[in-house]
Amino acid sequence: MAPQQLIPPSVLLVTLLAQALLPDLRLLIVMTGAALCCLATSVTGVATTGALLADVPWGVLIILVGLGLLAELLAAGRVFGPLAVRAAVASGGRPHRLRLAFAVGMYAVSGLVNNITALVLVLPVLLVLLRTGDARPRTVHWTVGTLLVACNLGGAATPIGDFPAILLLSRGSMRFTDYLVRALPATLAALALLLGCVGLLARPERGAVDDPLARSLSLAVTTALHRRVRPARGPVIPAVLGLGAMLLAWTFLPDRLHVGPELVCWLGVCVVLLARGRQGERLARTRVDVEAVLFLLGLFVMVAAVRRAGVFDALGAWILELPLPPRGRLVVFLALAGVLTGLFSAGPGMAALLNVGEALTRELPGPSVYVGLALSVCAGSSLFLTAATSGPLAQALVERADLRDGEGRPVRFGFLQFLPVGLLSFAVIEGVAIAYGLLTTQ
Amino acid sequence: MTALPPSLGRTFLLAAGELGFFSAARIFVRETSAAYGPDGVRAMREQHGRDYSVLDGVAARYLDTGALPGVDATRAAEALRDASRVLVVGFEADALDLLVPLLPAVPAGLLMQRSLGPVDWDRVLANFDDRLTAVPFDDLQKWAGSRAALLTFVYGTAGSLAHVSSEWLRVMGPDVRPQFRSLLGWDLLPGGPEVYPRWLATADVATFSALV
Repeated sequence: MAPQQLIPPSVLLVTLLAQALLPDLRLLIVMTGAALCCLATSVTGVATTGALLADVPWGVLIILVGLGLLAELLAAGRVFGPLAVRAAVASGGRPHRLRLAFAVGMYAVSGLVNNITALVLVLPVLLVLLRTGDARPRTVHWTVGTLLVACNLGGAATPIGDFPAILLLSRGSMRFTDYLVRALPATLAALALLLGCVGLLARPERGAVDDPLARSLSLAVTTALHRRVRPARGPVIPAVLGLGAMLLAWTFLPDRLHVGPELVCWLGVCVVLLARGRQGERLARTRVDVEAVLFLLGLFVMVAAVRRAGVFDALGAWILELPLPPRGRLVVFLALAGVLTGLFSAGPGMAALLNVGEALTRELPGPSVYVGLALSVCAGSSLFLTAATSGPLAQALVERADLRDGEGRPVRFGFLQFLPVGLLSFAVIEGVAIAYGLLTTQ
Repeated sequence: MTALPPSLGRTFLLAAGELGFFSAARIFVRETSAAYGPDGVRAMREQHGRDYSVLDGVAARYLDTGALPGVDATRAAEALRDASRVLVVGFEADALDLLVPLLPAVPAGLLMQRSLGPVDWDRVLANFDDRLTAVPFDDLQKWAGSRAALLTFVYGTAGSLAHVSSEWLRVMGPDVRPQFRSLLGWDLLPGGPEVYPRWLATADVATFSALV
């Protein structure tokens, strides 16, 4: 490999390390890294800035922005708060049932809206329950931690839940239903396994004293706080109808029409927002997640530079030359994907590894590689609190809730407190990813 | 003595922040009574009554009468019927849940000011289906007018003094009085608390144009 080919991957690596170490500056770091990659490829004659920008998968950004706006409309419709309260009531306020109900609920919600929105909509209800009920540190760590992982799994369950799956859909690597029928059962299995392991091995409620009055007070206060919160039909009906229409279009529109998933989303979201008139206009003007868009744009530019430099081809060739059978190479790739995602977070992990994964599809079925990769990225996202953007948000929400234990001491939820949950989740989800890869390539 | 949850006091304060002292007290007395009967309510009064005077007052009424103190919004609604708008200072969920639907033609605002801790105002207002407008403290003057009314909740009186939430003292002043036609106090706990009203403030009854 020529020395000039090594510049873009070096910039990418340094940028990813820097943004992981300095999360407060991650956007500026990634944008600077992208500009440096453009400079390097332009000066060395590898590719112009225009060529790199042309390589950006704009469809992914369109889907992310569109679904983000749709999620904002659902949030304005107050549809998830009442559901969360119902889940709390159904659990009877018992911590293990509460964890189960909220994990399953979060899984379902984050399959439809992005993880950040899902967390902002559902976590506050759980935090009220924890504040007014059992706020033992162990219960808080495992309950909030499991919720975060369920959020990641829900995002990986559908092609519109989170960035890695959206990338697969948008690039045409997999069709909507092809991904859904494979990823949904696999992520459900991972969730069931995880909840089972938490309940049987970690046993967060170990040593806790069940107090029926504390439980009934917690439920009564939570219910009273949401006593008349009802979904607002105005925003909810067009959002649900629009999402339903888009799901149908993604599933049934024939390829010969050349109407890609990004165009379906673009049109669908515009129609939904137009139906809401001024509210739609206000959302479009003020609620686009510019930070996420710029972050991913920077990543895509860097990944394009690395691809143009031929590094992914070389990596793919290296994996294909490993002295292992094809399924062994898949296992190595999936394990590497999980660890690298844990270190660099899901966006960079998936954007870079998908290019390498494509090499493996020459000798193995594409869906096995892609769904396995999405699951591995999900495992990596769940390893550390900092590996997914929802982690720091959950940390901030928990800190703001000012949870206290029975003695009145503040209950923290940070990197170290999440680590046991992260390690168990990583092992479970990565295990499911590898098992999926092996079982579907027999 | 009945063993109550150790976090009960802290939980009550949290509930009172977003529901109001009176509304939270009704929940706590109801649930404690359901779990442990009158003995439990007595124990709660014994352990937490001195810290939370409204909880003590509601528990005392319950133990005296066997029923929770009720909420009747008709007199407050009658007093506010001719107002062009009503600004509520302080918060009581049970009372406003009844009052707001009785005033369909009167715009109602809620002053976004609570001294008990952080409040999720979006959640508070979502319970009123857009019938209650959030009013930042700086917008107080915009709600003034020749037919405008200020409403606050009173937790009993003692002589010429009324027990009110501390937000009322932040609002009430010689410059505010002439800007509103009526200043209504709604007494939810007639007779007042039997213990020192910690967390509450006192205001002269004469500052109200009406006390219902």
